[in-house]
Amino acid sequence: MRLVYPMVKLLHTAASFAVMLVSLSLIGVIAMSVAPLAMGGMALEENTPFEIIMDEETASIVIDGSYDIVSTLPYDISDINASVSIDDGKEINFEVFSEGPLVVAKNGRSTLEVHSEIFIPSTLMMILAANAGSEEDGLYLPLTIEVGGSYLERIISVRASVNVKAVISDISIPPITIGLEDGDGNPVTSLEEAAKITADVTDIPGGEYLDDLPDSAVITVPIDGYDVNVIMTKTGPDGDGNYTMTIEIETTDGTTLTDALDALKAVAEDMGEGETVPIEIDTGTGTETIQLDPESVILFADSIGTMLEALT
Amino acid sequence: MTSEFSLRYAVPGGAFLSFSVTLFTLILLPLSLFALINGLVANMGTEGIGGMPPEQMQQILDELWLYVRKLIRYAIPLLIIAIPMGLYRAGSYAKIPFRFLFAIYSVIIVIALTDGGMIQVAIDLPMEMGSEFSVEDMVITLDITVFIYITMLIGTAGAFLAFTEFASGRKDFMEKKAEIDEGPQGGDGEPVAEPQA
Repeated sequence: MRLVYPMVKLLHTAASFAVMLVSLSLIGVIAMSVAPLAMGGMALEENTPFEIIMDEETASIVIDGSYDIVSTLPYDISDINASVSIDDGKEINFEVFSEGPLVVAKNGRSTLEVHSEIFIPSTLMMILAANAGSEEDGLYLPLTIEVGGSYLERIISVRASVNVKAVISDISIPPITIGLEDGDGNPVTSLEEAAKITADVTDIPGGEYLDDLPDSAVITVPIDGYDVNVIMTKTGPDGDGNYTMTIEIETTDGTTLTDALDALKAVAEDMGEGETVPIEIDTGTGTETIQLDPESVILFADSIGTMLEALT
Repeated sequence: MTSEFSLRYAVPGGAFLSFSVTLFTLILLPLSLFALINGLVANMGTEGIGGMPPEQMQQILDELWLYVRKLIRYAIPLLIIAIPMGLYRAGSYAKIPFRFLFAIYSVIIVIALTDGGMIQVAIDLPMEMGSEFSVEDMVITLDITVFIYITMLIGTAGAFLAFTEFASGRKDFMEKKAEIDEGPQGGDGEPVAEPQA
């Protein structure tokens, strides 16, 4: 019995000491590993400059770049990821590029390859969808850039999400006139019943982007025995230097547009690896056939759907 | 028989010490650090830090101030608990609930203050980046969930030290109690088991 009390005292001292030791160790490990991070233990080196180019052969906007992440930190950086989405925080949310997860070993380096191809008509639809009804000045593409990573065996993870507006033009889209028709050519009010939509934008001041666009472009997308045509027509400039743009989207057999887009997505989802959908583009100088992979087809169908919803 | 919660067995100096340490750690130190950072940023003038404009720095400071205010608000009950925790001697039944509550409430503060380990800092400040891009807003999420779990474990283990402290100081407390009960001006003597803040 005499020994019990000293044992209890020893137990309390040991327990207090253990709790203090673990607390101090945790603080020490965090301080020693985070301090180099705060003092610039990580750097981004550009291998190939970031560029955005138009690829006429594939009718795509190609984004390219290569970066080295260099670390002089005492622990590995894991789960590094980066993504860019066209995202307006509401209806539009399309991932354009995603890379990761990457690991940068302690005192090592790792390469982050940025590569993305976006079908130009999809981008145009999204620009229109993002700006339709907007009360802000100018034309823009809403982007969300996300980067993140984990450190110290995932004890600390950081993710930064930045909402950016890529300014396309200082000129806003004038009010858009919408016309909806069913398969028999009768006017309808609901998008669900429409087999054709006509959007007229008048009095668009001329500028760098508009002047470069062809006078007309017809995009034909085949879906199970019928086609969806997207016809873009530019007329002008008028006496004041303004243009009129007309965008018509229609199905060739009277199927409603929403059904056609759902069918197109279903076709893309059923496609195997390496399979493509041939899409014809006629810009007045001849017809070109573009092969779109399933991902791009789904993005194209979604962008049309989002634009239709935004316009109506 | 007098209850161990009686102030006859209390140590006012221990209560003061416990209160002061808690006040300094959870209120005065964070306030001083914030004032220091605020002063340093104010001295930067219009230059900013690391390319960050002063307006953006001010937004981060505002977020930090919210955290400091939150900490102070959460710490007030802890200040109150700290008084009886220091007031009663180690080894008395009276100290156990306050010491246990103090540790558990500290863990709750850490969880509440860090939103369970997911700290979000939102910077809502439109900023031009050349003529082609404009930043609308930025959200930085710091995930320290694992760190919070470890802290929770340490805090909970610390709470159970209330019981080992009781067992360890019980004999000394009982001797002191007997001394106080017997003596005409009991309680003025040197405490056998020192209270811990």
